[in-house]
Amino acid sequence: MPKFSRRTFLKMATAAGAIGSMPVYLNRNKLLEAAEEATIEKVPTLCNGCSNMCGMFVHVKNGRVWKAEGHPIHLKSRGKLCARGHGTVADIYNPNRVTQPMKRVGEGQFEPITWEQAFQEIGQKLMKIVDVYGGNSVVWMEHGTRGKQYADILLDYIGSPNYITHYATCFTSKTNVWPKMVGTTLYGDHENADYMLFVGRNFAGGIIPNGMNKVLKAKERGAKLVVVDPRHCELAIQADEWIPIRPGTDLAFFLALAHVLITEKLYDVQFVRQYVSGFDEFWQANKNCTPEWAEKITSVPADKIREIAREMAAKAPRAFLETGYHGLNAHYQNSVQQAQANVVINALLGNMFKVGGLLPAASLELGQLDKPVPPAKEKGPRVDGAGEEGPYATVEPGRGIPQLVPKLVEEGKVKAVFIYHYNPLRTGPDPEYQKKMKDAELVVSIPIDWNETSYHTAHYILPESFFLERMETPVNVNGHITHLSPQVAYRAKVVDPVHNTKSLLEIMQGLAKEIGAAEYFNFTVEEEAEAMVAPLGITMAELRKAGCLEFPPTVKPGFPLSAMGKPSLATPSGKVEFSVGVYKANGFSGVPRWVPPKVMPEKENEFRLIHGKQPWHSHHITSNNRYLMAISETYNGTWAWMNSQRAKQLGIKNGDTVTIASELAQKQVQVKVTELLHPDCIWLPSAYGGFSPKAEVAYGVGVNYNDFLPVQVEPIAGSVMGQEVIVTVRKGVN
Amino acid sequence: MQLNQLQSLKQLCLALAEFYRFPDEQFYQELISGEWTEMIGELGQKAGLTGRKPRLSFDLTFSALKQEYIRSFIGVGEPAAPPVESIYKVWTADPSAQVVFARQKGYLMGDSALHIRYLLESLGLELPAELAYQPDHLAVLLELLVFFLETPEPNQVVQYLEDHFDWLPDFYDRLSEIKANELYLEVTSLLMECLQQMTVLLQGLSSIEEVS
Repeated sequence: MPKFSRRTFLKMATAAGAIGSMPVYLNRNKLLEAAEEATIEKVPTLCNGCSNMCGMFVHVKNGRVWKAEGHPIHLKSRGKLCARGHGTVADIYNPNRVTQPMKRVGEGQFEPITWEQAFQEIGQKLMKIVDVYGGNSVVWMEHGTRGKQYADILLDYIGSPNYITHYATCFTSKTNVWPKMVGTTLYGDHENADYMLFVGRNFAGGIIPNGMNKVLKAKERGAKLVVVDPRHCELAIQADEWIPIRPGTDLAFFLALAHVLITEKLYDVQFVRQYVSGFDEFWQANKNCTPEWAEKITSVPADKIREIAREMAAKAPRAFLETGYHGLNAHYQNSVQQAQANVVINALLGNMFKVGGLLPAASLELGQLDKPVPPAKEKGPRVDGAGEEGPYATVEPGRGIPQLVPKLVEEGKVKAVFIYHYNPLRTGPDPEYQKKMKDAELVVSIPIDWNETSYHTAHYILPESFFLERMETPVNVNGHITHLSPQVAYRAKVVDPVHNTKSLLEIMQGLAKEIGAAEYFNFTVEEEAEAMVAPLGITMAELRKAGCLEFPPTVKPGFPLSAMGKPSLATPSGKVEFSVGVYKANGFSGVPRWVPPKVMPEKENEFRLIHGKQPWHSHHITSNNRYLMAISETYNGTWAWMNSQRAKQLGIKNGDTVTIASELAQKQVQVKVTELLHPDCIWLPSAYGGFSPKAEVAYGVGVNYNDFLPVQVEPIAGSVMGQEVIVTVRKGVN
Repeated sequence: MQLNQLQSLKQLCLALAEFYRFPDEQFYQELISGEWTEMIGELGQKAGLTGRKPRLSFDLTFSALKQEYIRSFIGVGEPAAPPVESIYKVWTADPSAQVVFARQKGYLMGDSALHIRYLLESLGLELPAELAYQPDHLAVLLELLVFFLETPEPNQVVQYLEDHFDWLPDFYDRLSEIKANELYLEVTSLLMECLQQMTVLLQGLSSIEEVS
């Protein structure tokens, strides 16, 4: 018989070698019976079903994930998890994850490689690129900002300024505006409000369990909830009133609200006098923005605008215009002005820094591990131009302009792209354009699963451990909802990795070793965490046990004042600034003024394409989860929505398949015909349209708005203007 | 006779286990040279299998074989049939589990993995790095089977066979469904035949030692 070689396999764990006796439970069922008696450990950690990082307890039995529940203290969850939180847990044991490092060997072809080989090859290629083209030919892109603490070390070491986040598709207008006008960001005190106006924000779609809890508590107490949105979204179901507005015209609605508040002297004169600068400039620019003017633009009746303004004023300061999130802050040519007008309305209501109005986030100053930093290297200008002299001078460099990266690759300005926890091929505009990223000399993706970006563009895929398999550094618990007392929580490692994956820090350490930067990553996440909580007077052992700790209140309602009693916001005047100096200096209007949407539907078969979240999905990141997709199936969740009048004109009935087309794409989808949508638009959920064949559950299900959306850059904040696209709709598939 | 048969079945299991591991150059060279086909054919004959000649010949480069392995068992770009027991069985029978997938198939680290992990730890056995994260991978199950065949208790081995190889028909169906390479369908078909023969043989024995 010919000899055949076999690879070394089962080995004795100890040198002694000999087997003493057979295992007690050689029989599977006997072992399982015994295993049922094992104790269950409850491990506190943070959810990753979306970016809110709700506190959760994960039950672990026999080293396996057994149950998930909301953390009772954590501000965002308060004992509850949403569908995404429960569903996402299943992904840990999904065999379709990236199970080990992969190297592209052809179109759609990868080979598993060792971590050592991956680090060696990536390290060599990276340093060659840095030597030949310079550090600023290297870009780090991520959802943001969890990888920043490690990305910054790498970028500093190689001399690159190019840290870029996904926020251009999300809320860059808000984060650009608020620090300049208010010096900070404020959030609605939902629980204590008497009137809540939500415009373009589906608080029950992008759900935070305790956020909705607070809204509903306020409602039970008698507070009024008004939702202005082109679609009767999930929040509208809870509202006292839903007002469908023509999409893209929210700015006009806001300017008219301000007009009523000012002309009818309903605004908080004292607040404005004491704490606002630029009021006159704002009024001079907008005194013609009457409710009648706005009615023509928005389709909201002038009387309704007056009614809302009057009701809000009557309830002020326990009334607010919700400060928004993804909704309006990245969607339109006028998104920045819209965010500015949001500040103006709230300031006119005099609700800032007041209970029931808007309050700042409670947070604590965390410590920092003392570690060596790479020697300073001169960095060139940012390759995307964010914050640099030129067309994007006012864009926040901390956010960047991700939609420019494929173009920069094509132009030869970007040679190496690292993409961490981010999937621009599906969540950014025009996927075919995004694919150009693969032409860089080095493309490294660090995902959990086979997302579109990894599958279609990555040269190397370095799988990160699932969120239940890794520890991360402590975070302040805040954002979106208010709380006077700060909380600190952290993501704990709950179980051992199921696959040959690593945490981001371990990945960076492996890469750093190959490029001579090991000394700058010579620390553990545990050491970092201890240093971060040290100033708080607690230890990680205490935080590990609790998962989330609350500290004495740091938020004291009342306008921030200096020792001399002067307004002391972090703005040039210390006041709320209705006019932004840096906008003016760069040729834009300092105060918000009417800017029409970039495009408008005109013909009988033309619609503005708008999109939004569903409460059981986090845009596309959850769409490969079979449980969450089962909910989609139950509720016809992949269907587009269309106004019934418009549908009738086009001969379209509920459940018909229609063809949606823009200059970029033509796709088919079933349609829900409804009166609960403004006639000007067609609505698509943002979760679908998967085109990574390895993401089996998501693949080919539904369509995505990004398929139709051209690449655009809003000039002040750099957003993608995600709803500035007109599509045609026709019945049938031809 | 029985001893020879059992030894041949053991050898066959070990040989077939190699096909479920990511192919290396040496394996490829031996496979392409026909050595493995010949050897597996001989072992099958000695083991008293049906006597049909295994169809293990193929015309693939080393790179192509690796891609076929990936396509069949890992699945980049299309659905695959991972050779892992947990995926083909209900995740857990423990009624206290409250995760959504507790009573579903298709997930890793199910009860099967728990049992195999326990067996490996009890026996003081370690897995190679490439399989360290998949205790109930078919290659591990086969290796452990051969390990148990060194013990004198045929009933225990039969129990192990019944506990951990009853999913192979489902696995074979999945391989067919995804149109896996013929090589892997043939190997899996042979393996099922081999294990069936082994079960019959062991059920007729009172002691493995007695036979040997």
